[in-house]
Amino acid sequence: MTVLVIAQAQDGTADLVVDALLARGADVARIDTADFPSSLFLAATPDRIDLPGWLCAHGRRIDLASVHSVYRRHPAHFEFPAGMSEPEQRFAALESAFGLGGVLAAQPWRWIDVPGAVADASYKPRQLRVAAQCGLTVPRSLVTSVGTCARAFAAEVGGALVYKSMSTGVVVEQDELRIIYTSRLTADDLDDAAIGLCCHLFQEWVPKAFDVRLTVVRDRCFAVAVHADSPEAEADWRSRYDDLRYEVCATPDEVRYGVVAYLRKFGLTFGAFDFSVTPDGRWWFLECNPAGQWGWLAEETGLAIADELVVAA
Amino acid sequence: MPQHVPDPLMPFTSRFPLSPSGGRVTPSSALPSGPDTRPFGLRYAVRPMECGAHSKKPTKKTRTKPTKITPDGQEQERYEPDTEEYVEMDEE
Repeated sequence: MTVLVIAQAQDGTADLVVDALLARGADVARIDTADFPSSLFLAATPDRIDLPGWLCAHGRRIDLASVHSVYRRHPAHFEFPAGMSEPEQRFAALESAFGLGGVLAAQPWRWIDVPGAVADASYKPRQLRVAAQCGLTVPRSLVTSVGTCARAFAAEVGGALVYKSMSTGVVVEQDELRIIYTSRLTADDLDDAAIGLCCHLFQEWVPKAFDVRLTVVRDRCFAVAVHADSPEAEADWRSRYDDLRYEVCATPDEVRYGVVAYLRKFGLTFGAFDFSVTPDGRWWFLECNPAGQWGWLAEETGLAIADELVVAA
Repeated sequence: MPQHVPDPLMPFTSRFPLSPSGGRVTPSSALPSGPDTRPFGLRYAVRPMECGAHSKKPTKKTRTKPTKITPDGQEQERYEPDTEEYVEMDEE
């Protein structure tokens, strides 16, 4: 039986899973959707349950019937010939997503994780609600396009707030990439007119001792304390990797129960949870990335996350 | 001319296995529009710092060894990993 890995060619986190699978003697087939349609081919017969068809990647044929499970991480966009017009590219991309995507979705494979579940779990407001339902401690939060509501929320919180993006938080302007990290602000920073131009997520600032990146595979928890040595990293540790120190730590039972319930509610096997831990030891749920990075933490700490994913597959 | 407009509340393509998640950005030389039309959240968009050792550490990359492609896809090749240096993507 084959384990299919769908990931970008330069995804080092997926590499760790491939290495762990090979170490266990598994048959691994890896595809990069950026290779479609130039060097990744497909011929499928959805009506034939016994012979569903094949993929061919760089000359290797992968029988769909031989695949047992799939590890999927941030597939790349298809790459079509440069001469295609924009409408042609749009058409080709949609047909390919529904065609190749539909064929893959039709197979009775075990996915880590089911793409639809990952999509559902990517909405931060839904994350916060499910986390609260699962008994996790969640900061007071407001999603709004109404400036007066943001001011009322700030007054209720009575202290520092954070603003955070609900999607990628990435923008390119003037040919320059910019990222919106979680940013501290006060009520004085609020601007009613600008808030009214789209949705914004505000949360109370949690005065933390440190952060935790909690990687969960099924019911196995891999917790790493992230200690920040600068104010910027304290607000959002992604903004200053060089200012971070890592330390493996234990997961409190109530958090463990909560995150496992969270994954079950979304139908996920994997989740990369972010918590802030206050000086009294309380863990505050911030968000969960259903396809988050964990490779660098495994390399920093030696945690056997890849092995656990292999077991889950 | 009528156009197909996807449901803005349900990015349906993201429910399919091949949809890229997050990350991809479209190059643009557009200037910020101005205070009357610029969303509040974009005030906090900053240039990313140069990533250091933790997020850009070179390590090994494993992939399928390229082989000759046959037109009908019938050729069966054994999987043989090869490795090369790669650059880790940023955390997300």
